[in-house]
Amino acid sequence: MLDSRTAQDVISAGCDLGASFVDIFVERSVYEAITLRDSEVKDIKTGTDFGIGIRAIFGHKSVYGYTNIAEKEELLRILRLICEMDKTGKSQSPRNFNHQKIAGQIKIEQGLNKPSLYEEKIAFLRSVDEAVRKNSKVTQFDALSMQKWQTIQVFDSEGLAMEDERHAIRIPMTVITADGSNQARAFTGPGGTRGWELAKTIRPEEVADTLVRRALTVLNADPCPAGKMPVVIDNGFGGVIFHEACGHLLETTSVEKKASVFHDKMGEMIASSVVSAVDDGTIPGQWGSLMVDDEGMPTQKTQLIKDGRLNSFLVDRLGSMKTGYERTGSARRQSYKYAPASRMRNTYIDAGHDDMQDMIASVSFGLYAKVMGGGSVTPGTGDFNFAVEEAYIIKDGKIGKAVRGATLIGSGPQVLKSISMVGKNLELSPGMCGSVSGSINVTVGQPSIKVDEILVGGEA
Amino acid sequence: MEWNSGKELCFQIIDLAKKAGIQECDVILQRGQSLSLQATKGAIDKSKVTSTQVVGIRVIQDQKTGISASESLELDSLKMMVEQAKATSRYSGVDAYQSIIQKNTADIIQVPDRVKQKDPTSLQQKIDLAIRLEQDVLAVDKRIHNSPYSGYSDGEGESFYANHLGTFCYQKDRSFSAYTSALAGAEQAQAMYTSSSIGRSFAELDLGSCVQEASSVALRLLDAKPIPTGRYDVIFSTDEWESILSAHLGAFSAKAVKEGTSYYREKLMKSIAVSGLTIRDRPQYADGFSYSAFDDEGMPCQDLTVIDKGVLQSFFHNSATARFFKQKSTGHASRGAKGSLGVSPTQLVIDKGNASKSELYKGDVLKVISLKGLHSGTNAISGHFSLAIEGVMVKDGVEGQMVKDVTLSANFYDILNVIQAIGSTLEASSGRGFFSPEIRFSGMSVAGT
Repeated sequence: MLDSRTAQDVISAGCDLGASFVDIFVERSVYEAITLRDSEVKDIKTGTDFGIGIRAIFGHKSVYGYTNIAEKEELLRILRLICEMDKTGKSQSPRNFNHQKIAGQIKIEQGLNKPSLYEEKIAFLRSVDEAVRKNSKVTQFDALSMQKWQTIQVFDSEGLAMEDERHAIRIPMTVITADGSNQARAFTGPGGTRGWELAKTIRPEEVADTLVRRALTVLNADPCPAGKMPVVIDNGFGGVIFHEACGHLLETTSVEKKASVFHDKMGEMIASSVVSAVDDGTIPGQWGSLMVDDEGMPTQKTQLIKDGRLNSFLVDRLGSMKTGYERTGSARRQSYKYAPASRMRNTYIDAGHDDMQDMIASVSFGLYAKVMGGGSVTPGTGDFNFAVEEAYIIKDGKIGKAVRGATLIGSGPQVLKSISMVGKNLELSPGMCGSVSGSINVTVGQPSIKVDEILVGGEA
Repeated sequence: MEWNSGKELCFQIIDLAKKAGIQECDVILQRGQSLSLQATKGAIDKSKVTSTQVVGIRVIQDQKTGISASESLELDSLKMMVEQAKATSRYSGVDAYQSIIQKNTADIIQVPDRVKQKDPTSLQQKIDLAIRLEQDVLAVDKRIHNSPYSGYSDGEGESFYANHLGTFCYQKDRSFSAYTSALAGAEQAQAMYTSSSIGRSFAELDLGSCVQEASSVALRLLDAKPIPTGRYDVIFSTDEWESILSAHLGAFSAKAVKEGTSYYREKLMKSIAVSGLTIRDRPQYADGFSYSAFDDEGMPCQDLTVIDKGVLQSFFHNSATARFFKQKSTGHASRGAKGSLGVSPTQLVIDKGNASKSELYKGDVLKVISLKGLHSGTNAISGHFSLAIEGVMVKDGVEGQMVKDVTLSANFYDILNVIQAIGSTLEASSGRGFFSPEIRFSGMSVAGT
């Protein structure tokens, strides 16, 4: 890692060049990925990522650079390059470091800071593989055990000097079923900011049964009809609709550019009054949780929407400078290769008061989106597109036949206002989110919700 | 010679591996530098300078593979990397087909003349370009009220490959790019469109086209509306056609065939498309920006015809899939410093057909200019895709109503058999890694009003 004296010298040099703020992010990440395919351990990848990112802010402008070489001369070379176009004659004075300790981390039993349990991990993946392959229509099963042990340091010109350790694990699993030339897949990927102990909460037979049932359902499904219709979206990963349709638009990364349709809507009703939404980085062990964000600020629980009214954006340092809103501990990045940006953590629509049966019963013809896939959104317009991995037609208030190839297409603001019912069954689900500061671990979540009308893409 | 230090490092790691008793190994070293600038409100809002290096080793012991990588090139880190690769290989499954066998008679060194010259462009010229892009796009029309993404970037990358048999390969390249977006608004309508330009030198960047395309399309999209649900003949823009094809390229991978996930696993030498369609991979196609002199097993790259007149001629192979299928590698091994051995194409080129522009656009055609949600609305295994699109209705070559809020659904493997016409002019994608004439597909399903 980086010694404080070098960090102080580099920060001082940045301030001498006229930067109003300088910070240094140092990262050392040990990773391990065990891949099981064709019932064999396909490969085991290990390694160490190491690098240092330097950011200097001049007014409202951020410049950023990074290197893998932890030598003072190289850091100063990068610093001078990034400051070249903005340097002024006005030297700023950085504060001396006030070293901070982080308290309250959850205990990690089996992180990568301890000898790896290769045999135990492989045995677990094999047990799911064996359970899945009991069904003759399963043609492939892929599983991964991915673990990371990240140590970070953050130094800044306001005197912050802190170090944090983060552990993460995810076990993505994919089943492919085939029937003649038809193929279908089902995916699950439990994960958390934990060590290998997370796997002990997963029952291989149960995961296998769920995956096979879902892949067979899609395999035998009819094409989804297209058109505008009411949609009931189930809990858990169904929350990806909020993540994409609203969450990204609440990040100051797009708000500060006025590229979000919500940039001037603070305090206004932006959703149906039954919708309240939260972004919470503090939930112990959740996949999107942090002790401190990547600017070294303690993370927090942020109430984004309260009873339909916009309550808060997700704000990083630069976003705060540009918009005037307080920071929310939401600065995140994939690695030292990215400058921090305001990003989501564990984001969910809060539980409501409706029953799932009542939602289904209220629909004469529509779609029940039981398992959502991924999606994307255009920040400027709020247009989004989600895949539905497992879907059923709702007819006369009852769940009917399974359909495949459904996508949900629409505009974020419109959909938020079209949510008419919110269930009690809140559930969270891990996922990866790609944006301006790279791919990061986030949790999405929601109870079951009913949207009165969405354009469903399927077959015309 | 600039590659000497990298070559020495690669063989230093191979020596460490040999001393550790490793039977087969290869090393990939990647180095790079880049600059990126983003303009907002008439000034550079964000800039980024990077300097990177990463080295990775693959070892094979008793037919078991171990992989490890390090971004630190300190000797202790390199020793730990070699030890980790050796240790993990003990737990890998036996792979009787993966082996490190490429023994070249001479080093492969690929440094184009243009890269040997120092880039003469000053930082100020690059700053001016990024700012001008934003200003020019905003000046086109009052309805363009923002340009959230306007910028410039350039970069140099070096790739080294070496193995225990003494094979050494090196290539270096450089690219420059510029992009701008136009966010237009009128009454309740909002529309955004982004355009980019890429070049081998700063002077090659075409700002005028970027500004013209981003602004004109965004403005025209303000009037876009859904079209009635039905079946339409469709022509994709080159970028969108590249996206659709790329999402399904796994079907042409011999690795996917071996693993049973390729849709075409039983279709070799069979007709899978109309007889007018020929697709080739041309790694050394000089106009392309994904030019490769060697693959990631050190094998010299060569052209490969994948589909010839509608018949599937070959899958993409690395040495492991080639050995499994008892044939020669096609030179499409793919592996980053941190990754395991895979297969990937380089630069796809689709042969020109004989349809003139007027034949291509005869009658009613939906020209697709934007696809949304590709990563979520596409199932590469089954070939089904259902995507939100933007486009324009074209009648007898004349562009009419702009289209949005509709979805296009089809099966990729089916649409190769409903090609009605292939254009006679080759067009490059904006990233210049894909080349295709315009292709007209019959009767695709569109859900709108």
